This record gives sequence, structure tokens and C-alpha cells, in this order.
Amino acid sequence: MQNKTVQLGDLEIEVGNTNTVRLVFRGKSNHREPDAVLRPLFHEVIKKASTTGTGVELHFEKLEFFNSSTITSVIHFIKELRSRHIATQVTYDATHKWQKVFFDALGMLQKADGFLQITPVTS
Amino acid sequence: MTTLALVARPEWANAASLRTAVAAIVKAAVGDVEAATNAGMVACELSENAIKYGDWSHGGGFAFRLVLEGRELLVEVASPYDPSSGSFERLQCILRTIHDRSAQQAYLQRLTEVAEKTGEIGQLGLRRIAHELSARVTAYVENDLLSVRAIWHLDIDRSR
Repeated sequence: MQNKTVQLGDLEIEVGNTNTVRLVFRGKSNHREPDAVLRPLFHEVIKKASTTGTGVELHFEKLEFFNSSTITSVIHFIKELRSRHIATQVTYDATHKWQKVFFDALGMLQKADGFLQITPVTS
Repeated sequence: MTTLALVARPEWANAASLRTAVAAIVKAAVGDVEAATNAGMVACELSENAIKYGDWSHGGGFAFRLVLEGRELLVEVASPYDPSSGSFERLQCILRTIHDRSAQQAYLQRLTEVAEKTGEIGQLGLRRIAHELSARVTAYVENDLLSVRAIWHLDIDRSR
């Protein structure tokens, strides 16, 4: 999987490969069917992490907005990572109330096995 | 009082346009970025629902209304409604879950369903609005139009 930047309308996802697969979300996600466009990328990430045994970092700090359809796609992705026991680190900007409310709620996906960690950062 | 009222074409990009416009208006009126972002989110979610579920077989557009009075904000969309679509009944079901439990529980329950069931999609927008903003969300049908309204109190932090 190469380092690259994926542009989906107003949403930009920077994909990086070092010790982990790192996705940095920027901008706004307003797509009507985000799953159709995000799924191939997410599938690629899962395949890479599974075959190499690396973890995944998901950075949402720079995300300005996502619609509820995108929320569904992100949840499916995180659930899939968890079910495959891929260590996943999610970070968000706790100074944005909307991010805090959403990622607090997403904490329900965390389990004692520690494969999913959701961490607030402050800008 | 600050108001905005227009009829928007049911094109997907218009939901994002309304989000941007509403955020800019609220930012100009109250000077709070968080309040503006939240108002934009509501405008976007309600507009997306109108575009997705409205009956556009006869053309037309959806009515969009924003009213800001003091610290209270109202966003309402009204779209043509086909009674055979069942969309009003689905809406009522969602609003009942918010009312019967709490907005937070309804939202968390839906997130869980989305996470647990493969292929489970949607029906998050209204719960999200009710939960994130403690908004009162209502829906009614009148003159073949389905209206959905969100009203909430702005939580303005002057230090932001």
C-alpha cells in the first residue's frame, strides 16, 4: 500500500505507511453514499494491516464535518478492524464538541482486549 | 430575530450548501463557531433527509427555514410526501425511540445496531441531532408536505 492522498469531494484522506497504516481525515464528508467510495480504501487498509501484522491509526482531528452516512461507514470500518484483532488507534480533537460527543459514544466499541483505543487530543 | 427561508432544489450538493450558509449566518449572528458548526450540521442532516425521502415525482423543491431568536434556534425542512412511502411512519418510530428512552440512549442504541449488524445503514441523523444538541425534534404532515423541525437552545461560550 503506497503513501497517497485520496480525495472524495470535500474530504481528503492522507494514507501513510510507516510502522502502522495511518489515515488522516481532513475537510468535510458530505457524500450521499460514502460507503461506496470509502469501502475500497478501507478494504485495502484491512488487507495491508492483516498481511503485515501492523496496526492502524485513524486521525480525525482535522475533520471538519461528516454526515451521518459517513458515520455509518466509519463505524463499520472500525468494527471490522476490531473483529480482525487489528490494533487500532483513533484520535480526535476534544476541543470540538461535536467530535467529543461522537467519539465518546464510539467508546462503546472498546473492549478489555485493547485492540481499539480512542484517544482525545487537544489542538 | 434572524431568519432565512427558501425553497431549495432537491440536489444532493444543496445539503452541503445549506450547511455552509447556515453556519455562516449563525456565526455572524452570535459569533460562536461551535454553535455555527452545530447549526450547519442540523441544516445538512435535515436537508439530506428531505432530498432522500421526499416525493420528487412532480418536481419542485423543499422548503428550508431557519429562525434564530435570542438563544433559541429552529431549523425546519418541508418536502413533498408520498403517504405510500412509509417515510412518516419511520420518522415517527425514530422520534418515539428518542422520546421513550432518551436522545443519548436512542443514539447509542442505533450506533450499536449499525456496528453489530452487517448492512445496517442510516437512521442516525435525527438521533444525532437530538443527542448532540439536546434538540427537540418533531415531524408532522400537512397539505401533502412532510415537515421535520429541530429546535434547540444555543450553548454559547463567550470565551471561544
